[in-house]
Amino acid sequence: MEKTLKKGRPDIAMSSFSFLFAEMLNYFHSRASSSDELEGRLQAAGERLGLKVLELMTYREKANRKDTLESFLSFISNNVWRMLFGRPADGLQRIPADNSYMILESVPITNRYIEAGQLNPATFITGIIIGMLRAAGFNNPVETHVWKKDESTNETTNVYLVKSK
Amino acid sequence: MSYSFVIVSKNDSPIFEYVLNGDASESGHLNQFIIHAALDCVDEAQASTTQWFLRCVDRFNDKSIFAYITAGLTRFMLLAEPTSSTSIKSEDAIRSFFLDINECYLRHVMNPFYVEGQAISSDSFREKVANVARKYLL
Amino acid sequence: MSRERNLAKIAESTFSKLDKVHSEIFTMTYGAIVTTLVEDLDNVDEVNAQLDKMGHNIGERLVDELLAKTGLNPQPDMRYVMEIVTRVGFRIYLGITPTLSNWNADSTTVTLSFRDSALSDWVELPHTLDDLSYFQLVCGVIRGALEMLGMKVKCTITADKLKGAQTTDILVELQEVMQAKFYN
Repeated sequence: MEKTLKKGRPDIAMSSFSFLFAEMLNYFHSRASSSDELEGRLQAAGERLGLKVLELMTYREKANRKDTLESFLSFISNNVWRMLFGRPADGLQRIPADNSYMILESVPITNRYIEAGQLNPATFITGIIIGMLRAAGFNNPVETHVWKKDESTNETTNVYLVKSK
Repeated sequence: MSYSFVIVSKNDSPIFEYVLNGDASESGHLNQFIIHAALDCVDEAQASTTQWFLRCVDRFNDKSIFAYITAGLTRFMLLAEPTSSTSIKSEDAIRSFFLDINECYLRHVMNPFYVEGQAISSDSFREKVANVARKYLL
Repeated sequence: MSRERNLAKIAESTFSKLDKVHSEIFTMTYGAIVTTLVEDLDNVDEVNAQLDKMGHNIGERLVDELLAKTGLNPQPDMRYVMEIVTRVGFRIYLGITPTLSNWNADSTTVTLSFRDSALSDWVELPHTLDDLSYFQLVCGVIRGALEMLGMKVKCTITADKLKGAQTTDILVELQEVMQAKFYN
């Protein structure tokens, strides 16, 4: 029916996204009276995308319904990540202790070229994940973290922590 | 064949209705009721498959109710009622109908101004549904 | 080589060296911005003004990057600068090449036209937002970019594809040539 639904347009410069995202951050910053509020608005903006991303990706990949959280998160960290960000997430891990999951990403596109101080711009992506989970009926809470990759280095990775309900 | 097509939102409210070859009046009301009552059957059918097309989920006298669910859990319900002239379309035709409707619906969802759960009032959407219905159900 | 073909070549070669994204994340993020503004602000005029302001900020930064990556360093010559805007700027940042038409006699006004782009895929304006200028951001970007190059311009959307027109048209009118803010 429509080309951009089926296939998508040719790529554009990543800085288009970065410039736009930075302006969105600026706008939220100018209207927020606390860093919590700023983070909340950024996450909420990401949540708006959740249902859209879910329906579009399912259609494009001709995917079936994912009936377990793990298979759904695998779909997100692989297929959805590739459409949104050009490559799969760095990893998906389960934390057996509390049955939560981590999607790992070293450098989210939201964090490239952006000086954001205390706020982690990847909260926008957390919002997208939350929106997707809610749309598919999973409703798990998700948090944004930055953790050290291992004890010896100062290298960090972003962690989207999907908690059990 | 006469068909009543309803899109039901995640919170069970009808957000779009379309009738092909039927009369909108009395049997129309009954059909809406039957479709709504079939939602429980949709939930049951959903639990037993990971397919989006749920096939025939319920029957009421000579009416058959087919269902399809989208990734975001919106339900497409099609009530098919044989009239004197023709018999029921094949399940494949109904599946194709739902797949094309999914595409129309997807375009509608991708609109940034789309509000989840809100009635679909777009004229272009209605026209597309009418075309898809004519293509597969007539 | 004609100036147009030269710019097209510069665009392709610059683009090939840049980091890229698929258009969907950009389209949807812009949609989220516009709908957020519509919810936040009291009236549509304020939304349009905010989009213009955001665009202006983007334009200033964007032209900085554009000149650095392409090595171009144009004088405030409206014709040449608008060719760069359409054949290089739009090409790299939006993936389209708008047309330029209706230049006036002294080359101070021109109409820039485009159909679809990553900015407005799948967008359908609700009837309650008839006065929303979805493309106002683009006006701001052009204004901000040209200001950095020493040209103060006015941008007006004279036709809007989201409101039924065949193309979206932006009338760009030169108001003043100033000292360029950098290079030169």
